[in-house]
Amino acid sequence: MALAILAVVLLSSTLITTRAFRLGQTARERTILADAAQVQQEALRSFRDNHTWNEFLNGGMIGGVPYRGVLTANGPGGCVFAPICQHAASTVFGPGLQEYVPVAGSTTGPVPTSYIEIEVTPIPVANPTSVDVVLSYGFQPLGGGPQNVGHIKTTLTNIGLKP
Amino acid sequence: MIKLHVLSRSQDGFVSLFTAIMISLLLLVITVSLVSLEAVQLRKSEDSEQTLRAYYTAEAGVEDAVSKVLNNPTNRVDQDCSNPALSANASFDIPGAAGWTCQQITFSGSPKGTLTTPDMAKTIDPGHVSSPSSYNSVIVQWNDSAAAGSYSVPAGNLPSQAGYAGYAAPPIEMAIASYPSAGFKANDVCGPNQVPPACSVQLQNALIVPRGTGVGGVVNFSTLLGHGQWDGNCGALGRAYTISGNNYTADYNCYAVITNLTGAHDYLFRIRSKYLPSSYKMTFMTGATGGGVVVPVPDGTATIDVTAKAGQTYRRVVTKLPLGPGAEASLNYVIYSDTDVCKNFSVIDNVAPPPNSGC
Repeated sequence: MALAILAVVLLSSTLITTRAFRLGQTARERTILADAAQVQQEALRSFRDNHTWNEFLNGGMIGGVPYRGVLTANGPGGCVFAPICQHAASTVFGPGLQEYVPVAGSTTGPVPTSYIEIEVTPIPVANPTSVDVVLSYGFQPLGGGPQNVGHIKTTLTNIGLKP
Repeated sequence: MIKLHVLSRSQDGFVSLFTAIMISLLLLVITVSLVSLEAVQLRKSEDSEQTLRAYYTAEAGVEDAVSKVLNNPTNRVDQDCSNPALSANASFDIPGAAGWTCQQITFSGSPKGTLTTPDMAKTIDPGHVSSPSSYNSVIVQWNDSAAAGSYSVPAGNLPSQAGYAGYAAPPIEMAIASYPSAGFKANDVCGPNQVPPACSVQLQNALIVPRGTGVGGVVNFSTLLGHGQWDGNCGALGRAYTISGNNYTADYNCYAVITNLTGAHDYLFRIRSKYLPSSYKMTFMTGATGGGVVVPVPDGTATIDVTAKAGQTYRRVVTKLPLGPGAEASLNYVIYSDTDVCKNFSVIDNVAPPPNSGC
């Protein structure tokens, strides 16, 4: 009788604890990934702030090396939510010339199996003065199950600091 | 003997059952604690992510407001939250999931700023203010931004004189251009030794020197012409003082009230910090001697205040957008330039930037 009670309690306790740990671990990993996604979002904003609006949209040259803009950097490569996507990558353009610029495809996050991708949509006019930025991220949670995904959306505008 | 044996076996069973229940209870407590900890972690993670989404939604609201301001630079009408059609966006991110609930844009307030280097000047151009009321006095507050705190009055007068060390506020030079609200022509500008009503556009200077708490604090605009230096009422931060019935607690070391301005005129102020960097604030009041209520005036910036919501989380972002050069930039140049400039004041409301100053 005592052994039966002990076995039942031990088994259910183990199951509940394991489930709780997995949920907690998923939550921790999701927080880490969301922070990494914020880095991407801020990198893109910094790219906007430190370049002209035209360079931000279409790219340009740093130290004689070309880089793409948010409208020209889209490409396949690990994209999950959209056929083509991009991410911000710290790129070296020469001695002392290193900055985040848009690069085609998605990037991996700091959590195993994770990915981060950015989709940029300009407002539908000939010379767009703002773009919507949707940043999506996800990973396979511990213990399997459906992908754990999230996204952050914001808008970047030609704030007029540079033409 | 048999009876005793049965009793002993029964006792053993009871002990085993009791032990099993105790261990079960212990496991239950541990399990519940672990589940609670993980539940807290889950809640924190959700909060953190929703906060992030709300923040970037609020930033989108700010960028949207920047677009509104920059795409319509002549329309400087405040936008409050009373009209959700203009000031809210409930469907920015997956309809219903995230959006901004209030987007305020205001073009006025009490101008304040920092004069970061000695002898730096800034122009405050309130333009014509009549709603809700015109202003009739200005409270100017300032201190040495690098040494704010306690304040002592040394023996010397000006920083260029011996004994200046110890001031926690620099002297302030305030240039005031006054012009009729109804408009004027270029030949209305007062010449040397010429005073209204012979002319109507006047430029006058007031040098306000920091003094102790018991003196000064008033710059009478009506007797500005030909007056020597004025005294600023200065002391420690946090001290209490009263100006025409209004009680204040000092946020700046010094204050002086520019009194007797008149609603029939508009004014352009240029504040210059002498010898030291300074922080300043100018509060425009309805009363002629600094009393009454505050009149918000255009302060050269658009204040954008956006509150956004994601899930049940709210985030608020407040930012200031410097507005492009308007009348003040050109008037600066007109008033202070030594080069050949066209003093055409009649275009004060729409002065084009003077590239090479040909009018």
